[in-house]
Amino acid sequence: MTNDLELKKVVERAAAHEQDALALIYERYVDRVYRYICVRVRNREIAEDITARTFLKMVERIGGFKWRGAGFDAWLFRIARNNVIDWYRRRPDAQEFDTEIAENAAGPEAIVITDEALREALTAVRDLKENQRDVVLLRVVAEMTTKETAVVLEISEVNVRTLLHRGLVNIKGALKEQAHVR
Amino acid sequence: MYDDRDALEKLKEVLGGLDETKPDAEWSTELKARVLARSGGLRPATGRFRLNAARRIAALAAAFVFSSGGVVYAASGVMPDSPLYPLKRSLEKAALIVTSGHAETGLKRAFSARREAEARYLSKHEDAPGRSRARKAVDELHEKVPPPPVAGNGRVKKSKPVTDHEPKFPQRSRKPAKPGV
Repeated sequence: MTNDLELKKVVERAAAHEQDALALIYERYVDRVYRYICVRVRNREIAEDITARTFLKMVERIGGFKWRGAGFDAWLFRIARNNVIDWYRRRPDAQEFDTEIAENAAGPEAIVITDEALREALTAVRDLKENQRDVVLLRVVAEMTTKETAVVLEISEVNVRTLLHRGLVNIKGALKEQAHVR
Repeated sequence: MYDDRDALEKLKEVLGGLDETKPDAEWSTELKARVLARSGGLRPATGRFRLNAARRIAALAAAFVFSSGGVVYAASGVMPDSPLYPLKRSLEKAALIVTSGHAETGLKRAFSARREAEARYLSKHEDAPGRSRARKAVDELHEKVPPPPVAGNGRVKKSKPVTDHEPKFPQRSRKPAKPGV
């Protein structure tokens, strides 16, 4: 699957529940989806649970998928994002995007970030407003285009660019501040 | 001026460390198997179970007949002398088209019971106009449904060929009874 046309054919076959096509899609997306969810929940066990829900839901709904504009990536990541939101809605006591878990290495399932620069960047992302954080994570971690991000978040492309700009400015400011403190 | 692209690339570079965040290989293989298994259960029907357009219409008709009110109506209300009788027969045929196996056998037996009830009805109403239609229906039924096995001494009785099976439609006696006998 190197281009959109090829992906479209594979998705069409997957929509007919052809096993080899579904396997190809799974292989293509599992790491990206898992990484995106991991960054949001910062716990391996929870990330695995939500990733599993995402792919199982994908299989259930792929028959009704219509190829419009942003394509399959946006559709799949919208499922992933909604699953993360649902997970936190069911557990109001849990705190999303908790970098403290990682820093304190609380339990074997916590994802430990040893790279200091990465940890600081993630902390800066965590401190963003929710809509800015959504855009930054989808554009940077999920590797989505502006158009795809707009579809996932159901906002305009102009809004995506604006939110990304503000998010990046805030991250840069936060990182500068952290460097100044050190 | 602040350049988004530059800042985005820098952030990507820093967050590039997350590329090492991958799911456990064993877990990933298990999930893949679950996904494919779930897909197997959702696979659309193929081959003889796939309904073509005509069968879909027949299925809708059958659904109509066997929806709660329809069953009662079709089973008890319409007799061969009714103008709705041909509709009832068409719907029965439609139901037989969309069923198979045990369900089909069950339907045939249910329709057989209906023919019997119709025969009884007609024997009481000898001048009913639908007599010829009912006779035709009984004949068709005997061509399609073998009689149920009879277990008299515990053994399954071998059924006769369907063509030899005499319809149980009540016959009007041709000779009038002798007076005084």
